[in-house]
Order: sequence, then structure tokens, then C-alpha cells
Amino acid sequence: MNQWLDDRLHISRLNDKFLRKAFPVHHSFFLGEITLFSLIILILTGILLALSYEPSTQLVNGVPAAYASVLRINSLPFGDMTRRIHHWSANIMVAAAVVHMFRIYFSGAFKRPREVNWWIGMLLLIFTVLTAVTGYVLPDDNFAFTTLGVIYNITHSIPWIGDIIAKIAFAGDFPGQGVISRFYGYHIMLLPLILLGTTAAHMLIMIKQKHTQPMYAAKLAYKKIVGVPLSTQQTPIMIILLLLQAGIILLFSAFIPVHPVEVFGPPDVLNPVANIKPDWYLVWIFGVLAIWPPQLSFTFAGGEFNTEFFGALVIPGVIIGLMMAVPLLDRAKENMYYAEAPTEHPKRLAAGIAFCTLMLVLSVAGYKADLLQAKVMSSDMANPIFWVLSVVLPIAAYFATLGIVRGIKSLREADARETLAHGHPTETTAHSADD
Amino acid sequence: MTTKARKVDSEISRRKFVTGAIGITSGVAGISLLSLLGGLTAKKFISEQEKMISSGDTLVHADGDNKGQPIDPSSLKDDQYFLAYPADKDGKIRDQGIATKFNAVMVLKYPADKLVEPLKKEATASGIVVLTTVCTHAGCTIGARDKEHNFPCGCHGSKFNGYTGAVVAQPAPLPLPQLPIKIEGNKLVVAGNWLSPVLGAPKTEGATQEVKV
Repeated sequence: MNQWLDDRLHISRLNDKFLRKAFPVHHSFFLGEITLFSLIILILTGILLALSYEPSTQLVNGVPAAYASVLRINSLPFGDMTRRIHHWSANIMVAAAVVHMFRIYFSGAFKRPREVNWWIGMLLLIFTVLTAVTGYVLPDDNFAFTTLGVIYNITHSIPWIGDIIAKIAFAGDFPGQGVISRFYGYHIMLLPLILLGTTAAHMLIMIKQKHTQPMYAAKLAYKKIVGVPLSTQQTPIMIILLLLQAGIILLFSAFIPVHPVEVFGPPDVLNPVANIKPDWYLVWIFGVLAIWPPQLSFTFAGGEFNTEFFGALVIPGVIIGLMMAVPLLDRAKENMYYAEAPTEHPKRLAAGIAFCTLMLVLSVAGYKADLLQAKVMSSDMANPIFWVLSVVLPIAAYFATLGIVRGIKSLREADARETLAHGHPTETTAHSADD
Repeated sequence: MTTKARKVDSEISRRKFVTGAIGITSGVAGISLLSLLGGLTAKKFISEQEKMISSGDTLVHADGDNKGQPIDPSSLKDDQYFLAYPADKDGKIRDQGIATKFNAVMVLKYPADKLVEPLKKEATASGIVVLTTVCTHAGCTIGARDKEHNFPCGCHGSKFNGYTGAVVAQPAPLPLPQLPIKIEGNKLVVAGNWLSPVLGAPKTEGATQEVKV
């Protein structure tokens, strides 16, 4: 059989090219796989959900047909479970993609020749988030209704062309009749196609350029590819990982409900969801929106530059632009082979930590409405507090990281000197020299 | 003086022709495909009940026991407020589709001393003020009046003064838009257009144009 296929399709060449791909043995290299497995689970559960979902805003017994169909899905055997698995997998996919990105950043794996794959990875992250957002508006509940309203107004806030873009994206003014079927099209057709295409490019480039090698590989065989081949050694590892991940997602889905549509209820303008939040990966943009001072709005040549344009498009655009620019900061002429230890590059490490700190501060700012309600801060002081924190804390984190890294380094050097002087290394210093 | 002889070929080369032809045809095809986008924007038919609030509409209760009944101005007590929708001359309530959000208004009755800026007194009638329910920041619908007599927005924490609609807590950039009203008999009637634009609402001419179903 193999021989028969090989005579016609040259399967063995496929084997040589892809199936023998060497995977470095290190747990941090599972992050990309977790992202990929989440995507697979999402596609499978998504197909199941699409079979029963009805993308329409027509009223059925007083509620939109989309909302009614989600209630019907919930009543099916394991229907609610399927929805939860889908939603949990989406959260885990975004989380795994983000942590994967951190691994690439902190180990310097974005450097020449892998810049292109960093950019493709950024596109993947952006489209993953877009897919997730278009997904959680589909139930057409009160939560989705408010979310859509905010997204519509953000799109609408682009100077000069915002109105026409919003009308194209949302099938006319919001709330209109076409918006749910339009977002269904985005969520199950347009965005997944883009995601799959980009994922394929991401992985083909990775296979072509090879993984960065962990440092142990340099000691085993310098400038040689060290790792286990995809077929067969890596495959059982991947299957175990997939099963483990599926198990954890099932566990989460069984015990922790996500997006309970019955609680939010059908769209009800007169009773908006109190203190609504987007999913966790967008809370920082929500925070920027909440603290951006409206005094900075202006009109220029007929175009309006308002709070939403700055808060939800300009600032996130600048931040995403900075992330895109990361590979350009490195000017090495040589190709990079080995993953670098984060502490060997303290400035890069510190910048990354500062970035995370900024995201955290902005995410807390997303909870401003709740903080005001709990009287943690007064409404006059809230914005100034967040402005100061979003500048001071990242800078403090930057220098704190530098300090800690230098401190540890000098301690290790002192240890090494002591070892040299006395000539009998203790257990601990032997370990630290290995690291 | 020497002149450089230049060889001029009267016929264009094959490569040039093919490149040009491909360029022109794909350009034309691309531009004509843009027309597909035209179909993405518009909603062709707007029913009477989806039209934006306009001059001459009567305000009716939006919820509660009297839902759909015209609001009787004399029944309003000081400090009270109702949510309302407009109804056209035939009594059809404009609360469908897009109108669900932008036609939802608050009818507030004030003690006379509370009628201060940025409210426009000439747009009120015997202490009754009509404000939008749409937050001026990101277009969320604001919540019910809280203990401090402010209208909080559940999205980004803006607050509006419960009497004047003025901004109490940012990020909202502008006060809540006000709708001019008058009293005709025992009905509240809309007397004109919003005094400032409601965020995200279609322009008024868009509300009255279009074809009736």
C-alpha cells in the first residue's frame, strides 16, 4: 500500500520534508502547539454549533431568532457544554498565543532570520482576537447588544471615513437587522479562512527556518539541529498534550460557566447590562477608553478626532505598532540559532516586563466604573491616578527588573570568584554555573 | 556637436503589451468588483416604526403598567422620571429596529430651581425635560438614576447630573443631548430636533427619507 501510494504520489518525499521535522525538547515549545490545538477544538465545536445556530435578528416570541436559537442549543444534550467548550477554548487560545509571544520575545527568537514569522504571528494574534470578539456577539443577548454598540461607535469614530466603514461593516446603522448575519459571516467564514491561511504560513516558515534551538543543543552538537522528529517521537507527545488540554478544557467547561446568555437576557435597551466588560484580552483597550481625557478631542478639516478614536484606535494602534517593530530593534547581521537566556539581555527583559505592567495598569483602569462604585477612588481623582500609574509603574518595573538581574549576576560572579579562590565548589555554586 | 542616435521602435514589445494588458484588465476588473461593496452598506427599507424621533411625535410610556399609553404631563410629580418612546400621528410607536436604541428618551420633571445650564429652558415645558439615554462617550445606554442623583454609564464609568445631564465624571465628553418639547392638551409633543447630535444615531434626514414598506 505504501509502495503503491509512493509510486504515484512520492509520499516519501513528504516524509523527508515535513514529517522528520525536529522538535526541540523543552516545555516552553508546547505553547504554540496549545494554540494550534485550541484552534482545532474551536473549529470542531464551531461546526457543531453552526449546525443549530440561526443568524437572524427577526423576532421569535419577542426575542431575536439568534438568541432563541442559542437557548435551543443550550437545551440540546451537551448543547450548553459545547458552547462552554467553544468559549473556553477561545480564551485558552488567546492566552496561549500571548504566552507564546512572550516566549519568543524573551528568548530573542524574533531575531534575524525570523522577523517575518514574528509579523505573521502578530497578525495571527490580531485575527484571533477579532474572531473571538465577533464570536461572543453572536448570541445576540443584552451583553452582545451593548458590545456591538460600543464597537460600532469605535468604528464610526474614524475621522472622515468612519461612517461609511461602520455602515459597510455592520450592514447599515446600528442596531440594524443585518448585523448578526454579517458577524456570523465574519466569524465562521472570513476570519477562520484568514486564520487558517496565516497559521499555515506561520508553520511552513517555522519548518523552513527551524525552531530556535534551546541552549542545551549547543553543548550536544554545536550548530546542528537537535530534537525529536515529528514522526514518530513528537507525535505521541503532541497527542498526550492534546488529550491533557482537552481534559482541562472539559473540566473548566463542566464547572465554570462562560457567557450565560440566560443571565444577560435578550437585548433590552431600557435595562443595559451594569458594568459590562469585554473579555480579558480587551480590557486594557476598555481601560484606555475609560481614562482618555475628552479635553484632547479636536476637529480638523471637517474630521472629528474624538475620545473613542484616540482611546480605542490610536493608542492600541501605537501599542500594536510597537510590538510589530520589535524585530527591527535588533540589528544583528548574523542568523540566530540558539534561544537566549532572558537574563543575558536585561534591557529587553526589562522592556518586556514594563510592557506587561502597562497592560496590567490599563486593564485595572478598565474596572474604573466598579472602583468608583466601590468608592475605592473618587470620580475626580480616578483619571489622574491612572495617568500617573500608567507612566510611573512601567518605568519602575523597568528599573526594578534591571536592578534584580544585575543583583543576581553580581551575586553569581561573587560565588564564582569564591569557588576559584577556595578550589572546592559547593553543591549550589555548581548548579548556578550550569544555568 | 554630436547627437546620440536613438533607436526608436515604432512597435511596442510583446512583454510591454502583455504587462500593460494585464494591468489594465485587472484594474478594470478590480474597480468593477468594488461595486459589490455598495450592497454591503445600506438598508433599503425603513418602516414607520424604525424612523428616528421627529417633530410632532407624541411621547408614550416605554415600560411599566402604562406601556404604550401617552404620557400625561400633569401626572408627573417633581423629581420623577419615565422612559419614553415617540409615537407618530397614527399612534404607531417608533420603537423597532434601530429606533429601539435612539428613540428611547427620559422624560424628567424638575422643580423649577433645578432648570439650570447646560439645559435649554426654552426647550422645556412646565418643568418637563426630555434627555437622551445614549451616553455621549461610546454610545452605551446609561443606567437608572443612582442615590447621588446621577445617571451612571455601565461601560466606562461616566456619570451625568441627574437634573441637567451635565458631565459629572469623565470620560464622557459632552452633556446628554436635550430634545425640545411642548404640551398640547394633555400630551407631550416633540417640538423639534435634538439640540445636539445623539452619538451614533443616523442623521435626521436619513430617518425621514427612504421608502415605506
